[in-house]
Amino acid sequence: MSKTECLKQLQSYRFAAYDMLLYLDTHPTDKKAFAMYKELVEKMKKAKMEYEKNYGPLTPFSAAKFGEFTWLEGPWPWEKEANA
Amino acid sequence: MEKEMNYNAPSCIYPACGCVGYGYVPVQEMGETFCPMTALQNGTIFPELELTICEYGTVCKKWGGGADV
Repeated sequence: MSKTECLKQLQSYRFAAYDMLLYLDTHPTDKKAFAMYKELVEKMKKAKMEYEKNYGPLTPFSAAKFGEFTWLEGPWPWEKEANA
Repeated sequence: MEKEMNYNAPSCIYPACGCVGYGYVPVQEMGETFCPMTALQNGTIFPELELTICEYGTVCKKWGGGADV
């Protein structure tokens, strides 16, 4: 999977999990919704790990998981190279 | 015994009667959901909430609204 596809996948899981969270705010006892929420959060975590393993940390705190401090490497999200 | 909080309790006992003076929002029920990629595209995981600006404010989809009027 390419970098942009990998990021898009993560964004879609994160978006879906957050939308389900908003639904649960008003339906806290909805079992099916909660099961779907847990599944989406699981997928989001895996997608984030997958992305970071290949393309580096997404947040400064994720940088702590690496052998060395790589947070300053690579293009910043707003730079052209990051949006190729 | 402290009355158990019912999140879906309507504000008026009989909202279906449409009595004036009470505001109420029909509670959304869990139905189908879009897959994450489609949901990101549509801005929601719930098909019933996917409304274009011209759909919203006119007759809702159930009553024939939604066509690009």
